[in-house]
Amino acid sequence: MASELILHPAFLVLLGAVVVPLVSPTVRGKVLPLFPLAALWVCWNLSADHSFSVEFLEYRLSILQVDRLSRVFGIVFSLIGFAGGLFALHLKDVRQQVSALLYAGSALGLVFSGDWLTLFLFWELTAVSSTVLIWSRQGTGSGVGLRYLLVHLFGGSLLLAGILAQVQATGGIALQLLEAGRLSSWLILGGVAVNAAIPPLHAWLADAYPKATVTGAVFLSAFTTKSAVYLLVRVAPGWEILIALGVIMALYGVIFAVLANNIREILAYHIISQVGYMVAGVGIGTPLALDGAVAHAFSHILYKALLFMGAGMVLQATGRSRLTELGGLAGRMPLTLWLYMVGAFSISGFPLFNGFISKSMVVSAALDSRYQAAYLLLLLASVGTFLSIGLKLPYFTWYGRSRPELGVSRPPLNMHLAMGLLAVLCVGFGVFPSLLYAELPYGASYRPYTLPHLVESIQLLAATFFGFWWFRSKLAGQPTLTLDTDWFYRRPAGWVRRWLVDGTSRLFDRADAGILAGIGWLAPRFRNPARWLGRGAEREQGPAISSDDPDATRPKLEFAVTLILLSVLLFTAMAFFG
Amino acid sequence: MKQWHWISLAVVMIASLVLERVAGHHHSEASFWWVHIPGLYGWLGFLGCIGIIVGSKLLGRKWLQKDEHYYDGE
Repeated sequence: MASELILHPAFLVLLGAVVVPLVSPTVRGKVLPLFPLAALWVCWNLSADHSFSVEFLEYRLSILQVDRLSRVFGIVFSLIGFAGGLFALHLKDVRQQVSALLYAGSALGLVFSGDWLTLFLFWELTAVSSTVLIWSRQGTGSGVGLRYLLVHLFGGSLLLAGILAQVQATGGIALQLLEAGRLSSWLILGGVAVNAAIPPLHAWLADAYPKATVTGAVFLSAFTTKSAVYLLVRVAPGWEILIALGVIMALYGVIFAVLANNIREILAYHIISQVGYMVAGVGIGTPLALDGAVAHAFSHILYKALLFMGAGMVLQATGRSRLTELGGLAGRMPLTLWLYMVGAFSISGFPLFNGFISKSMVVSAALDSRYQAAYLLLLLASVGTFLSIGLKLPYFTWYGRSRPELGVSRPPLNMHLAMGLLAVLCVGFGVFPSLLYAELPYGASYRPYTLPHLVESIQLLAATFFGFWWFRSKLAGQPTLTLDTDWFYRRPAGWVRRWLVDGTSRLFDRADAGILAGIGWLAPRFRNPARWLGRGAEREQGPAISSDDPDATRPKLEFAVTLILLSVLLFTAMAFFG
Repeated sequence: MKQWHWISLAVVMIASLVLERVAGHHHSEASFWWVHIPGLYGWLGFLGCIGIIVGSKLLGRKWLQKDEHYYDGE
């Protein structure tokens, strides 16, 4: 069993989370990437029907269930774990290092789970470990980390409720296709929709990712949403509602990215937009669409991590991430600019970059299945992608208004190396798409480099550039905040606090003050009740008795005798009449 | 943007419009009427780009964009 566990990609990375804090702080950063690298090697060599399970209570937990779908996700998760580790090689913060490994390990555990219970365990572990990557920059007291965690715990609860209902209905815990018309299926989809950032459950992403650490955001951009896409491909292929939701996501992200001012917020909204293509692909459900969703998840993880690295480098070098505070960095950060642009060309779907070979699979599948509106709207969304990521962000960060007052520090070499590695992969898969297509699970055949496709793409992108250039002044960042669906829990949070917390506090304060005033009134009167009960001691008070004479406040003997006699009378009466 | 940038962009655009006539369509596209609009993808890119900018900005100005400290009282 131990040898089976050590050859489980997830447990290899989780082992890293145990080992890294134990080694010397000077080598921790260098040791970290080795674990995802080992997991990559294991994933690559996993055979497609390998499985490993353990008995737990009355259930058999399949903690390693390999097929072509989980393998391709395992490969890209390990790969990005390695690239993220390389990017964070210089990091000394052990908390971030451990949580990054826990996060990567639990995402790997999730995609290799063969049953709902194991999956749920890893699902929750990704939520908790990723929260630490936000807390590490914002502090545990900040609202954003707590909001992120609460939203994911809500999603996790939906998923758990769905899983329990599903297990009760089917009697088994094995992962299987969701059946339409069952409450359990909708609960599970709701839980997955939170992690996939499907509107209106998406706002946590654009809220939290821009506020994560520079290195943490790279990990965040890869795992949570894509493991949700994996699960959708696994359990909900062909659910038509996902086509509409996917198209809405693709356009929603585009619109909000136009309004965003923070460069990492622009990238975050374009995660939602790109995941929209994957969700739509799952909804279309043909082999081409499903392979397209998987391929696009693979490509997206590579170029989005590259983009977040580029934006993170700008933040690290200048300490700023708002477009209104940036500009004219091209001469001072040329390498970062060009590596970023490789990611930007990829996400925009330029020929010879990896976004071109994967996004077009989903878009073509929409047309093949005669979803004309989805086809045109997804193309429109890719116009918006090029506009924000390929034009607006680089134009106003590296060109635009020059800001000589910006101090630019030199980033460590390993950060550029990690970006270089991902840039090579983006171009490599773009030029040799068969390298990726050979690993796809559903066996669809697709040729991206046909003359009509090339002509259409180039025409679309060139025309987008003309539109941008004409209207570019309108795209300059504005120092504003854009309302999103998190308004529904952020704004009322203030009111709820005012009414429930502050109101209750005020009530308690007043009650407190009232009780104190009452006590203040009563205390002197009960210091010696005999004064107003018996009046005896008072009458005897005279100059002869000093104030420390115990008899000064003692009632007279008659008082006690009267009391005893009255009691005897009372009990006698009770005995007599009762 | 230097002059040669504009010249190369114009060449690319014109080439794509010419090649569009020669290249034909994907087999699955051929049955839809809108596929035959000349320069369809050019229009989609140009008008789509402007539409996204104007539409988003309008939505932002009229409704969604607030002061950066909007949530600070939380």
